[in-house]
Amino acid sequence: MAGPSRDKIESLALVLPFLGLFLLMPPAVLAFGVPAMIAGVPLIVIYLFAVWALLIVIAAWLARRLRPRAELERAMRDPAPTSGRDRPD
Amino acid sequence: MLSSKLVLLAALAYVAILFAVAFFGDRQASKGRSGFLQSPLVYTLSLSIYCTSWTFYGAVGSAARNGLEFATIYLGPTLVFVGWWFFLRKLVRVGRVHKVTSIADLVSSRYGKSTILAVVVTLIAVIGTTPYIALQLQALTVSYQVVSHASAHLDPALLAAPDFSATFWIAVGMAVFTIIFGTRNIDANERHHGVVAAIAVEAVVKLAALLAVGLFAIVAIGDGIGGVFSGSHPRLLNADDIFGPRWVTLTFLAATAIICLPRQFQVMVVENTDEDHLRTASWLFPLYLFLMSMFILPIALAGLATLPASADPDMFVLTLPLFADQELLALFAFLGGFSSATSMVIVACIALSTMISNHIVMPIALRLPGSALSASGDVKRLLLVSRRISIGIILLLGFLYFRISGPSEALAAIGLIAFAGVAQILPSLVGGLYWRHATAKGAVAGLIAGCALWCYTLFLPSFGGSFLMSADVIANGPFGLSLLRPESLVGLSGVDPLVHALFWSLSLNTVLFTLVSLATRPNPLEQVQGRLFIDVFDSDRLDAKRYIQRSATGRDLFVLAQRILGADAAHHLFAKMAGQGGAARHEPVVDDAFIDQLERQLAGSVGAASARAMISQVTTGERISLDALMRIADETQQVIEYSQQLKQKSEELESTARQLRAANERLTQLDIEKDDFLSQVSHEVRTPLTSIRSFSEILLDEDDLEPKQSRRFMQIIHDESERMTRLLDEILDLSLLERGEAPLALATVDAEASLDRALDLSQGLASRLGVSLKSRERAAEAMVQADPDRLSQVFINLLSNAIKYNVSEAPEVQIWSQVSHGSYKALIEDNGPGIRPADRERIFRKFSRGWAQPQTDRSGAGLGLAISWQIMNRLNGSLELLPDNGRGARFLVSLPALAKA
Repeated sequence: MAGPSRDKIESLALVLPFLGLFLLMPPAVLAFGVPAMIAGVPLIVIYLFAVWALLIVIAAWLARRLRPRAELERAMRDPAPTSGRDRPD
Repeated sequence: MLSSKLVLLAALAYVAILFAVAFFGDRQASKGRSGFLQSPLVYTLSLSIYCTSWTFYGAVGSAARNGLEFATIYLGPTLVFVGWWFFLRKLVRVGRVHKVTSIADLVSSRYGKSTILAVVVTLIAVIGTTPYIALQLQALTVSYQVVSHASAHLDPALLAAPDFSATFWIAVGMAVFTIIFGTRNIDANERHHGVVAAIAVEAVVKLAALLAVGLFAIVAIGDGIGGVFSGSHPRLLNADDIFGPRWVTLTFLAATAIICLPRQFQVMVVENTDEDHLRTASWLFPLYLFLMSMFILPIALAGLATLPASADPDMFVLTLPLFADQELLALFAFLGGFSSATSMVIVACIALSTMISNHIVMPIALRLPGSALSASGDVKRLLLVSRRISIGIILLLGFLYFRISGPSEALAAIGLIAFAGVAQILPSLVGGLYWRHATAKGAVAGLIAGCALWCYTLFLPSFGGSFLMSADVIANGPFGLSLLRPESLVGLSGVDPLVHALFWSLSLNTVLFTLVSLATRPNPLEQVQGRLFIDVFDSDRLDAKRYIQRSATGRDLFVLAQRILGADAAHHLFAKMAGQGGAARHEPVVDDAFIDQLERQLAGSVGAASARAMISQVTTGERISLDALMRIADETQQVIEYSQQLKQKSEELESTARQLRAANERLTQLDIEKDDFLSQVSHEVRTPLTSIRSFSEILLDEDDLEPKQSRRFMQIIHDESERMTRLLDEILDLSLLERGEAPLALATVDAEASLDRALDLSQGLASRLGVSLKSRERAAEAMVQADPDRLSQVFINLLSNAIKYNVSEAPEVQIWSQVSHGSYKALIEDNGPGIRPADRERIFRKFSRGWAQPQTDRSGAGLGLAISWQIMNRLNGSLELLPDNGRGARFLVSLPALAKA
C-alpha cells in the first residue's frame, strides 16, 4: 500500500494549520456556540476539544509519513561535515 | 492537615531528586551515553516549559472568570506545531546550521551579525521575562502558604501579605540549581542535557498532578462529567462574548509566544539535538497541551460550585483538594505547581543569561581597552562568570519586581503582557526567514517602535499608575491629550486593552519594518546572511566561504579558540577540523572554509556578532565577494532563462523537423515525378522505336518489296527517328532550362514580331486541320527584353496546342495582345474542349497532356508547356492558364514591357 505521494503529504502538512485556524476561529466556531448539551457537556466544549483532537490525529498521521527521506537528508541535517568528503568548490 | 514542615520537606526532597536527575543527565551526556535523553519524547517534554505555573494555577482562574477563553493559550501553539512543516522546521534548521545560541543571536545573525539588534532583542527579552519570573515566584510563595497554613486557603488576606522571605530563599535555590547545571561549561552547542532531563521529569509531574486534581474534581466533587457542567454559569460559555476579537488575538499571541519566548526558543531550537525530533513533537506536544487543558474547565466549575465565593480562583487547583481534606492530593498538586514554576524559571534564566553574556557583556569587553590580552580561556571565564552573575541578577530582578509590585490580582494578566512584549520580535524573525529585502535598519526600527508602543499602551498602564505612568495619564492621556490616552490611542476605544495594545504595537512594528527595509540597502554581510537563512534548505549553495574571503594565521586563530573554549577544547576542535580537511594533524589548512567553520563553531559559544568581531580582530584583508553573491542571486534567474532557452530550442527543433518533413515530402514527390518522367520517356521513346524496328525488320526480311512501298517504310523510319530526336532534344532542352543552363540570347526585341512569326509558322498546320487563326486586338509595338527565338517557340507551342487539340465543330483560335501598366500581355484562346479541372494544376508539368482528346494522333510528348513555362520564367515573365470560362483553354503570356525609347 503506497498511499498518497510525498508531495501530497507535504502539501497537506502545509494546509493543516489553516484548517485548524478555520475551524477554531469565528465565524466557524460561532456555529457551535448554541446552548445545547451532549451527555451533560455543552456542545461548544465538545466541539473545541474534538477539533483539537482531530488536529493531533492528523498531525500524527502526517508525521509518520514525513519521515526523513534518506541518509542524504540525515547528513544534510548535521551541519558539520562528518568526514573528509568535503565537496570541492 | 499538612504541616508547613511536611510541605517543606516534600519540596526539598523533590528538589533533591531534580538535582540527582540533572546530575545523572549531565554525566550520561558527558559519557556519550545520552540515548534516551536525546529522544523525541524528552524533547517534547522539555517543550512543556510553556506550561508554567500560569497554566497550572492561572488557567483554572482564567476559566473561572472567562470560561473557554483559557483554551486559546494552548490552541495557538497547537496550530504552530501542527504546521511545523511550514515554519518551525525552517527555524530549527537555521538554528542548527548557524549554531544559534538564543533568539537574539538568531535575529542578529540574520541581519549581518548586528550587535545593536542583539542588544535590542536581549533588552526586550529581559523586560518581557522579568515580570514573568516574578509571577512564578508569586505562585510558588502563595501556593506554599496556601498548602501549609491551616485554613489559610480561604483567607483572602493571605494574598495581601505574602511571605517574602520564603520567596527569597526559593529564588536563591533556583539560582543555585541554574548556575550549577546551566553554566557548567562553555560548549560549542550550548546544550544542557542535565537541565533538559530535569525539566522532562518536571513535565511529567505537573501533567500527572493536574490530571489527578481534574479526575478528583469530576469524580469526587462533580459526580461525573455531566454533573460538573450541570450547574455551570451560562456566562462562561456564552459564544458571542468569547469568540470575538479577544479570542482571535489571544490565539495569535499564544502562537507567537511559542516561537518568540526566549525560554521556548532555548528548548525548541538551541537544545534540539536532532532535527527529526520536531516531527514527533508536532503532534505529541499538542497532545500534551490537550491533556493539560482537558480538566481545566471541570476544575474551575467544581471550584465555583463548591468553594466559598471568597476563594481565589487562581488557587482552585490547591484549594479544591484541601477543602475536601484530600491532603496528599493537595501536596501532589503543590509539587506539580512547583515543577511548572521552577522549570520555567530555570530555562528562562539560562536563555536570558546566555543572551546577556553574549550580546551585552561580550561586546563591551571587546571594546574595552586592554581586551586584547590573550590568556588561554580568558573569554571562557568571562562568559561563565557573566552568565552566573546574570542568573543571579535576573532572579533578583524578578524578586524585586514581585516585592515592589506586590501580589497581583490575576496571574494571567502578567503572562499575556509578557507575551505581547516578546511578540514584537515576530515581524523581524519571520521577515528574516522569508523576505530577502529585510534589512537590519528595518528590524531595529520595527522592534524599537513596537516595543515602545507596547510599553506605552500595555506594560506601564498595567501598574495602574504606580510605576512611571500616573493614573491620570492612563485615564486622560499625557497633558490631557485624549488622542494619546494609552488604552485608546487615536480614539480607538471600546476595545479590550490587550487587543488594543497588540493591534497598535504590531501594526506599527510591521509597517516600520517593511518600509524602512524597503528604503534602505542591506550591507554585504547582511546580504550573505540573508541568503544563507532564507535558502537554508537549499544546502548546496550554502557556503559563506564562497562569499567571504579573508586570511589569518593558524596560530592567531588557535589562540582565539583557546581564549573562548579553553586549551583542551580548542586542541580538540582544531584536531577535528584538521582531520576533515585531510591535512596532517594539528595543522589545518587556514583557508576561507576553515575560518568560516571556526567562526561558526565559536558563534555556538559567544553568539554570531561576538564571534565575528573576535575573528575580525585576527583576520586581515576581509573581502565580501558581492559578485559571487549576485551570481547566486542570479542563479534563480538563470534557471528561468535556461528553461526559456530550452523552450526556444525545442521550438526551433520542432520547426526544423517540420521543414525536414516538408522537404522529405517534396523529395518523395520528386522521386515519384522522376519515376513518372522516366517511365514517360521510355514510353515515348518506345513507340517510335517499335515502329522503326518493325519496319526495318520488314525491309530486312522481305526481299521482294515494291520500291514504292519500301520507300514509304523508310520514310516512316525517318519520321519516327526525327520524332525521337525531337523528343530527346526537348528533354535535353527542358533539363537545361530547369537547371538554368540553357543559353538565352537576350536582346531588346519586339514581342509582337515574335508573335507574328509564330502565327505565320502555325498557319500551315492550322490550314491543314481546318482551324482558323484570328488576330483580334493587337498591340502596336511591344519592346521587351527577351530571346526572340525562344519567345516564338513559346507562342508556337501555345498555338499548336490550341490548334491540335481543338475538336469543336468550327475550330478557331483567337489572339489578343496589349501593353498596359508596364507589361506586355498576349492571350491565346481556343474554343476547344478546354482543360479538365483535375489537370489544371499540373498542366505545366512534364508529360502532362491535359487536353481532353487530341485531334491528331501525332501529339507531342507533353513537354511543350513545361518548356514554355520554364522559358517564360527565365525571361522574367510568366505563363499562366486563365480560369475556365467554359469556352476552351485560355493561356496568357506576360513579359515586363520596356518603356518606349
